[in-house]
Amino acid sequence: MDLGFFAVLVVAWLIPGGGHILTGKTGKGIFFFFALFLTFVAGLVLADFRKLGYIWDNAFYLVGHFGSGMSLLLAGFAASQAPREWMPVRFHDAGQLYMSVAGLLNVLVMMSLRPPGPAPAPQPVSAEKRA
Amino acid sequence: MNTIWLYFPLCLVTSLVLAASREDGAGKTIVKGLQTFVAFTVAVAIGCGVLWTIQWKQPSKQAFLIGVGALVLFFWALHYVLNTQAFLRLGGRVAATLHANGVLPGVKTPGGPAGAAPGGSTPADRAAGSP
Repeated sequence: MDLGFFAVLVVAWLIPGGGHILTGKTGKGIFFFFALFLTFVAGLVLADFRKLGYIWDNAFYLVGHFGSGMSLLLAGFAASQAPREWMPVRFHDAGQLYMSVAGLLNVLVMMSLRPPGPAPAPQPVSAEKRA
Repeated sequence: MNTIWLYFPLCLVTSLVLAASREDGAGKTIVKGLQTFVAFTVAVAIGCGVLWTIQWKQPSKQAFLIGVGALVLFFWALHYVLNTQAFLRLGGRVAATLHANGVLPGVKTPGGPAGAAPGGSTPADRAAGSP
């Protein structure tokens, strides 16, 4: 794997959809960015900006936060803020799930990136077609 | 307010991201395997969230298994339908199987025998002298 594709993967981890934009699939990249960004922000709001440490109560949700650099950055921002108490407490679990799923989906999106390969070899012409 | 509705946007976003990313990952078995693993993890996470909401504080093992299974099936059904070409190929294979077994006489399938006689015999069968 060359350094160029490694850099694309790093960008894809930092910014959801960034890898697709760099590889020329701008439409998909923009779709992935907005889908995952809005999902993560919705989760932050639903969870009332709970501190990152709060989710140590549920280690499964914590894993998803490492799925993208953007989610880690926003979770760190949330951890620095006091809880807003905008939402009912029963929404907090759904909010944590939104954030975790957004991170996991970014990992899935990263795996759909393919490094540029060699040009396909020309197909040999069969004897029937040559005749 | 019932919080179960919170999980439906999450299911929709997940299904759309799955469908959009699957096309790019086609052709590499290990990538498809990893994508399947992440998708299943997401489905389990959402299933747990749904069941926790339905059976607040008292989840039963049976409801847990049923809910997770239903959600996994929902994901893959929607994902498969969105992947239209795969769905059409599946339909073609089913039609070819039914035709080969005489269930669907006269069904024209891609690459298969065309214009089969009622009762399921093919031109090759008739050339061989079978009824």
